[in-house]
Amino acid sequence: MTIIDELREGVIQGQANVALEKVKKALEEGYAADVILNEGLISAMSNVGQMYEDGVVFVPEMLIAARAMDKALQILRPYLVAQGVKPVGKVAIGTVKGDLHDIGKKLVAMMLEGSGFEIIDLGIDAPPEKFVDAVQNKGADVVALSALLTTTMPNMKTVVDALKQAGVRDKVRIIIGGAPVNQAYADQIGADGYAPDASSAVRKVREMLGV
Amino acid sequence: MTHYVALTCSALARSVYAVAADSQPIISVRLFDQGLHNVPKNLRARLQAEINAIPAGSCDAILLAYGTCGLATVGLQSHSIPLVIPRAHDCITLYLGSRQRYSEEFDADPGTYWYSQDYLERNPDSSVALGAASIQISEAVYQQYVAKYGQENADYLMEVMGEWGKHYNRAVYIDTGLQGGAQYERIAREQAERRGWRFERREGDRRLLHMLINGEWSEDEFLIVPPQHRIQQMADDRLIQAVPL
Repeated sequence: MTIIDELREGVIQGQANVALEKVKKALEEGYAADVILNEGLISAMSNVGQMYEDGVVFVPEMLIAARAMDKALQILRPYLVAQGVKPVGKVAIGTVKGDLHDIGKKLVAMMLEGSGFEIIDLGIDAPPEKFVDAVQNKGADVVALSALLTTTMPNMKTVVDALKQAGVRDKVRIIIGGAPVNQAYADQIGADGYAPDASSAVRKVREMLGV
Repeated sequence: MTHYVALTCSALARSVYAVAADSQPIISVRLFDQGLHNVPKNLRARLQAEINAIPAGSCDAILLAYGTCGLATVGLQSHSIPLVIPRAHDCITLYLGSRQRYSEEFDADPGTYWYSQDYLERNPDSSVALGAASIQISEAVYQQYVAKYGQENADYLMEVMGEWGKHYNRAVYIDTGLQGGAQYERIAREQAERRGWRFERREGDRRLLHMLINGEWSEDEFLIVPPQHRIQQMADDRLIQAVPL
């Protein structure tokens, strides 16, 4: 097993300490930061994502794996910057107005970050203006909307409409997710896509941006 | 004599029994555990199996004392007997008596944790939440996490999965005015205090349940799903519609 394999394994098992130790060791051994990112972290998370989609692991395993990945990424980030590795895209993500639940959003944000995206985290209960601002002034390529409740899902449409109103709808791709929504709802409100879980969200965002 | 079968969430048991006891039609109440809500597709499967098992011609309609409940009721199919369901997000609408009243409460304070007598007396380990889908992690589950993922990860999971509770700031006990409610109001008040939530009390209103059970199904507040149709979600505030199979 190479150190990269060990790093990958540590992330998959959700062992943050192992991931931290292995990422440091890999750097010491002279692995390039982007290799560690791609073959260690991203590969681990797509592995976990696949296991989730296959029903082998559940949300807790995803969360602790994402946390281990996130810890390792914090060590790796300065090296990525030094190596000139640019984010593959910028995603503004938030839970829509009235919705205070953010486990899903958090997981998607961590998975996207681990896949090389820059995240603008708009938090929970985010009003449409925040999303518009992220597109107008912060260069978001993708807007990702989350809602857990059927009572708040209509506020996804409000964001789509606000982006239209601000004249920036065609500058950005919109993806939605959360327990009560599906592809049909994405179509009805004029979003570009829907993802049922965090790993398919990453796949979908990559597809949308062609990266 | 008109006969309806009412498939009822146990969170609404007392209210439905109260209305059914004094109704014009004959009502056969069948209860389903409120915990089924935690996995909406399981709840949907249970309800569909029950619907499928009701013989053609044995009743005039199957009533669903449910909302869309995390989309659990979306996709349910009628065969030979029509289904009737209130246009409601969840049971809070049915407790408060109208979509309008729930929406006012929700807009005033989305961070509300709802309590009721049925909820507390039939859910002693708090493994379900009323209305919204978040649940609290019980001590038992926490111990499982410690054993499985280690202390540090277990603490992290508690923090992340319990975080919604920090954004909540109000507890509301819905008083349905039935026997024995006072002690549950007290429990709700104590829980609210422990969690640092402001406590309020609201009078329940069985108006919608009364309409459901007595066959007063206005187009605006109820969906009638004719035979060979299924329930589909809608993007506007009617919430659901019936489409042919």
